[in-house]
Amino acid sequence: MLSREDNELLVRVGPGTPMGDMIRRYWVPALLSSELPERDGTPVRIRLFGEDLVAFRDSSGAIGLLEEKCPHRCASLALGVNHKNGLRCLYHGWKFAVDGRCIERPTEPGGANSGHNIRAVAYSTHEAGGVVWAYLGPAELKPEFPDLEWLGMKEGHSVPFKLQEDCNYAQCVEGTIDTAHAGVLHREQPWDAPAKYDHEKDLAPKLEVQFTAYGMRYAGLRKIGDGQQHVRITQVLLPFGTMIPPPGKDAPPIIQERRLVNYFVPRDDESTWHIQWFYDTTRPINVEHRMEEGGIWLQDDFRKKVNIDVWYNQDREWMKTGMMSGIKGIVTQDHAVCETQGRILDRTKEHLGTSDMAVVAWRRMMLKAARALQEKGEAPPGTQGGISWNAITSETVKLPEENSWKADIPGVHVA
Amino acid sequence: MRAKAGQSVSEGLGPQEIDRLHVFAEITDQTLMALVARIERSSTAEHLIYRECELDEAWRLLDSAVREVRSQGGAGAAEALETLDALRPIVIKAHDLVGIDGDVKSAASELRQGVLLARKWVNLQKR
Repeated sequence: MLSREDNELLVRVGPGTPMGDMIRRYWVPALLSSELPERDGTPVRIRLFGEDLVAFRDSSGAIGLLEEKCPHRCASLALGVNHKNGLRCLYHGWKFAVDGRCIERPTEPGGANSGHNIRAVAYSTHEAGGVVWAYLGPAELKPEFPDLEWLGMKEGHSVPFKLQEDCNYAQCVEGTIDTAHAGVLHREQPWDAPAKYDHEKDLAPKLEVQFTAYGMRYAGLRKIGDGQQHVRITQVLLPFGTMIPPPGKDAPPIIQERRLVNYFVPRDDESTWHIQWFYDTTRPINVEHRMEEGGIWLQDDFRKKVNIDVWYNQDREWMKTGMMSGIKGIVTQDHAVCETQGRILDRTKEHLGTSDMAVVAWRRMMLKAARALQEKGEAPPGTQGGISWNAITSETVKLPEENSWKADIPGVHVA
Repeated sequence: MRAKAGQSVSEGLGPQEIDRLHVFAEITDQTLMALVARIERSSTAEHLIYRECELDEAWRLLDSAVREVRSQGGAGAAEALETLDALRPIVIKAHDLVGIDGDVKSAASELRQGVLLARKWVNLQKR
């Protein structure tokens, strides 16, 4: 349960909002590198944090991320000509470099040299892991780029996907730090049939949380007999990254060591870019298998073909005989429950249970960070450098029941 | 658990009691006193999350009780609703004092005010 004030603080991320200011202090994944496949290619319109932007790859390969509206007469720069190291507005020919400098104003006296004092709003970009990352905060406070585990892997061992989720980002994050839902929503049996996997057998794992300098990690603990416990450790990277542990040795070989990373980047207050990577140090990612498994069938604009308008193609017969959800694809299942909460969830009306502890912890971190920045000017967690990003990982292990996961699987930067 | 006069209800609670989520199934004066005890002993950020979740659970149980009384009606329903309605804002305030302010002292103090109401609720159910 959140108060109305806290809920508003959590969900509103537009320019000038406290949460918007906080999340702008981080590098965030913005679009796939494959959306800008060639130099001087087609610019891409992209909405981030409620801001309409245009991305383009210039003649040198550098990527610009500018406010979509031309500073001159506010026409869309996405209509413009991407040529010779700049994006030229189609309306009057003003041309902008990737850093936002206006480098030509052909319709003004002085022409080529007359634009020195004019700038388009421009944000920093960085390419890594097949994704263009962006920093939308104050330039002088830009943090170091995080060298995360999955960004520097061998070709094919880490693959990004992107799709749009039609609800507020916070609902999406909460959906992935909710271990308990996996054995219900993703159950590969009808409800009354015997459970297939460990996480379907024990639907009420014990949760424990540990805060860190970059966010938190939490464990879902399930007793599995013979004095053993099954431990799944999920990492949460502020503001909206989650690192999901691999299924482990009991799963089919193709996914045993496969890890998942989710970033839920606010598109605006009512929709989200769901950017995810699958990565596996032991084998390349099978992209076709993943598309099928996830149910990732997309339109050109990254919206799902199987969406709320077709009620996720839920199959009532299949619910009786096969998959409990009756919905094909894990991602589609996740999006179905989050999107049907409404575009913006009213958290004053919810009734949380003990299995929602990680959700509560993430909300509190976010609210605390936003307030600390707004009221005291404190930099958000993880933005001050000194984090060993590459050492942060998710884990699935089996431990003796009496052991502590915090001691046996020590974290980094534990608070 | 019931504290003697002048004694903190948290005396005797081990660290493990504080560093885990306590599960309870009903709202009674005993459960509220036990919750007060754990709140008083809480100090780390993790402790506060566990306590906030416990208060979420208390609020959920109260809300369920209100719905049940409303749907069943009958003699004593008005008094029961009055009692529960008085208890709910106390739990919500304690929840926010823990969650938003991290103020365990005020939260425990607030929740203590609900103990008599919870006892009354228990007795009303016995009628």
